[in-house]
This record gives sequence, structure tokens and C-alpha cells, in this order.
Amino acid sequence: MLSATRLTYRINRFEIVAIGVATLLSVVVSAAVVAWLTQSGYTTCRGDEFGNPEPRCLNMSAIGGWVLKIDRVSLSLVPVFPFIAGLVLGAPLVAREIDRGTARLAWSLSPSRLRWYVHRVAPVLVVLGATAMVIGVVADRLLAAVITDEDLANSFMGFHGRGVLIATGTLLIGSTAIAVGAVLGRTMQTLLLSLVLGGLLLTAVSEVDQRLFMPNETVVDASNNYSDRNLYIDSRFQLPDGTLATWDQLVAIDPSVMENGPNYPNVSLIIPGERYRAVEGREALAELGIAALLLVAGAVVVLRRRPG
Amino acid sequence: MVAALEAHGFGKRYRRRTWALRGVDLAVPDGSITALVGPNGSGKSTLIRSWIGFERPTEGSLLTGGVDPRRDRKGAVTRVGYVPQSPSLYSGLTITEHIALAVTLREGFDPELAAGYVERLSIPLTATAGELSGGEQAQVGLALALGTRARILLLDEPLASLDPLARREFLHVLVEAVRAAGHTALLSSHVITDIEQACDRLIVLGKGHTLLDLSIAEALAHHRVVDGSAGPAIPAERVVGSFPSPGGEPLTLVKVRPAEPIPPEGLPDERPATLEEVVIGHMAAGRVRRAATRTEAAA
Repeated sequence: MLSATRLTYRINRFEIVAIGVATLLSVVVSAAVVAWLTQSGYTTCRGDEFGNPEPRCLNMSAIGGWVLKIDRVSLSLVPVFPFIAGLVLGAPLVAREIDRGTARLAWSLSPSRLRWYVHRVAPVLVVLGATAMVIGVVADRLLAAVITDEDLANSFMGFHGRGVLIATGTLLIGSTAIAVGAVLGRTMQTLLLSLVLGGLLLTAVSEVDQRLFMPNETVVDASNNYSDRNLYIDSRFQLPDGTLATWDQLVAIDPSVMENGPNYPNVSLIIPGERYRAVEGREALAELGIAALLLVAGAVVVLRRRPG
Repeated sequence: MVAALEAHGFGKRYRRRTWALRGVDLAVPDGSITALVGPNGSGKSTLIRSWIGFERPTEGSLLTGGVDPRRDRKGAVTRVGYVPQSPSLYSGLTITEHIALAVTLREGFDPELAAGYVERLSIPLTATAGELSGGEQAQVGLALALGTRARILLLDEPLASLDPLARREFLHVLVEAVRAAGHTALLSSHVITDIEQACDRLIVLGKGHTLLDLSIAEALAHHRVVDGSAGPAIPAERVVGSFPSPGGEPLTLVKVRPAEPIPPEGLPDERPATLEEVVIGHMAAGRVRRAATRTEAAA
């Protein structure tokens, strides 16, 4: 297996090195940003009532602005990582072998195509999962460096853009690309179709979670103090008897609201930040499950198809 | 005769319309080096790929070393060493790495044997496949197939892109290895002169059918060439097909029993056929038969 892993690395070395270098660069830059922000205390700088910075912050503003910008740009790029890494590593894995004809050689040598498939897919999935997990942790640290007054383990801040969901999302996109590549056997077409299909699947996981599971977890927040800490789901009007109504339901109950406006308190349906780990874990499991199904589908296609 | 490869009523249709092959019945004897010849599109690659389980028969059945590749592809692959039409090497891997790859994929692969064949041809084991010429890549493909120590070798037009010297070297290695181990090889090719030197049996495919299946010696002994188009002097059942000579003069290939003149009293312009003329004559016959079938179908 060690030799097979090494050869898989050699065959896909350009893609693996590219993703590895990008991850390493991201870690180095992020570590520097987080270290500077943590040690300088820049994020706790507050201006006085006239907008003048605190004396200790005076010399930091020039560099601090840049560091904050790097932090935010890095955070905004994190959700793109699953697509880039998943497609770059996943799409060529099977598709290119069929495209270039090397599958003919490999499948004529190997009585078990499944063995060939496992030799190809397993090392790449390990690289994908590991690099994406690193990026997920990096995103956590970058966010924690600028949001110092929040317990991110109990907050939906940066939901889908940090932590384990980056890793599982990357594995989902990668598995999509592997399965699509096995069907199409063409690298470019695989890249394009997997981009669309992978995006749809990630959205679908979130949507299904929101429709099926989150309604059981939502609580009514009457304070209307919107906070990123909680996951906002929807808003309702609260009737005097305590029941909640959408605008359409309200119009049906009390048509006068059309002319007089709604004189009922507006409340938010939220999932409290304390539920973050549970929701994150559930979506991560769903993404892993779909990724596993796609990998099995890819294996079935490899077992049945022509080598090109 | 024990057959290493068999086809029984084999047919393969693509996209529910085009039949690449139909009604093919043939047997490749164990221990032979058989040439599979035919024009482009005659189904040579389809037949070879079907024996290794890369294609599924639409009708009929195949046997690869006694195993049906449709039912037991693993068994079929285990019995076969395959050299594909175009070199299918990993351009970024060295030859040593290709051999290591084969070891990881195939139990019983003999890395020393494969490396020995490569080194004999002065191909550096440290070179990447991308650095090799087409001929060298074909040689590496053959070395990998031989390294499997499979009893049956399937070679799908490996000579197509090779220069004459590379072709000669390739065939030399092939014949030597196959003869030494008593294995069976099926080689599809267009290059008749090379086949004549390397092979002991000839199968001609044309327009999806078997046109000829004989030993090389039988093929030569059972055919004569007559200058000019087939005239009334030659019994129609003996005429195989007419085709132009390199100079453009019409020639006719006729079937005979060995040492028998045609017609019984003989013809002045009759002479033994070369293997190339046997093949071309049968290909021409296949073309005429196909055209007639089309005309009948249209009518």
C-alpha cells in the first residue's frame, strides 16, 4: 500500500503539491496574522467618544489595518477552498486516467479494478481531508483573533466558513469530482459538472437540514437584538394568544393590517449559539455520508465501464 | 487443437446501431503467434478488448484461456498480458515506477523479467515515459505485458507508430519471449511483412466478419494469384477477390488445393500468392460482399 500511495502521489504530484503549498502558505500567513493580532491587542482598541484611538493603539493603526484586511480576505477565501481543492485533486483522479488512456494499462494489469480505485482514491482523500481540516482550523483561529469577545464553540459566527465543515465540504466536492470523472472520463467536463453538482449538493445539505431538523431546534427570540452568535432562521408576528404567524397568515387573520400596518410584535426564530456544535456535527455527518455514497458510485462505475 | 482464445457467434454492436463485429467464430490455438489483420474499422480492437473484458459482447460468447470474460473478468485479466493500441504509460513516471506500479496492481508480476526486457533494449529505467520515443514506449508496454507472465498476450496494433527498426526489435523480443515460454500471442497489425516473419497463423477480419482463419503456411499454399480480372476460365467458387497490383494492373486471388493448378488445366499467368496478396484479396472480397449486402438491403 505504501508503494501504491507513493505512486499515486507521483501521478498526481502537481495537484497535491499545489494544494499543499497553498495550505502551507495559508497556515504561515494566518499564523503571523493571528500572532500579531493576539499579541498587539489591536482588536480590543476602541476609539474615544470623538473617534480618537487609545494612546496604546496609536502606532498600530497603519499595520493593524493591513493585518485586519489580510485576516478578512483570508476568511472570505476559506469557503472557496473546498471547491478549489476538491476539484483540483478529485476531477483528474479517474477522469484523466481514462482521458489519457493510462486506465487501459492499469486495468489490464490489475485483475481487481477496485484495488486500483482504492489505491488512487484513498491517498488523495487523506490529503484532501487533512489540508481542508487545517484550513478549517486556520479559519477558526483567524475568526477568533478578530472576534475576541465570543466563544466560537457556541456561536454560529462564520457558520459553513470554518471548522470541520470545511473538511467535510472539501471531501464532498472531491468525491463528487471523482464520481463524475468516472462517468465522463473527461477532465475538463468533469471540472465543470462537478463545480455545479458539488455546489448544489452543499446547498442541498444545508437546505435539507434547515427544513427537516432545524424547525425542531428553533426558539423564539422576542428581543429582536439580532446577533451573529445565533443562527437566524425566520421572523414571525406574535399574536396576543402567543401563536406565531407569517405575514400571509396575519393578513388572513386580521386583514386590517394591510391598511394599518402590523401592530403585533415581530419576533425572530433562531437557533441559539449553544447548538452550534450539534448543527455543525449533523451537517458534517450528512456531507460525509453523501461523499461516501458518491465514492461507492464511482467504484461501481469504474468496475463496469470501458477504460476509454 | 487446444484453443487459448475462442469466439462463438460473437457480435458487438455500438450505440444500438452499428455492428462492429457479428457472427465471429474463431479459435486461436494454444502456443501460437497469431496475426489479426483487417482494414480500419474491421473490429480487430473490439475483439481484442472483448477478450480482456474491456467490452461486453452484444451476442455470442468468448473464452479467454477457458474463462468467459463477461462472467469472470478478473479471471480473464489474470490470464492475459495486454499491449494497447497507443502507448498508455504515465508520462511523469519513470520506467522503474511503471514496473513498481505493475507490482502493486498484479500479484505475481515479475519486476526483474520486465526490467530485463527494458534494459536489453537500452532503454534507461530512470527515464520517464514522457522522455521516450513511441517505439520505446511500445517496448515498455510489451515488457510490462511480459512481466505479468500471463499465458496469453494480446497486442492491439502495437506496431502502428513504430519505425521499421523499432518494429523489428519489438517483434524479435515478442517472438523470443513467447516461443521460450510456450505462450500464446495474438497480434493485430497492418504490416503484413512483419507478420509473415513473426506469426504462424493468420486471421483476417473484414467488415465485422472472419474472412480467413488459417496457418500462414496454409494461407500461402491455398492461394494463387492470376494476372487480370477473374475471367470465365476460373470457376467462380474459386475466386476470392480482385484487387490492383502496386502498378495498377488487376490481379485476382483464387483458392486452390495445395499443388493443384487452376483451373485443372492451369493458366499461364498463375503464380503463388504472397501473404500480402492473400490478405488484400480477402479484404477486397469482404468489401464486395459488404457492398452487395448494402445493395440487397437497399432493394
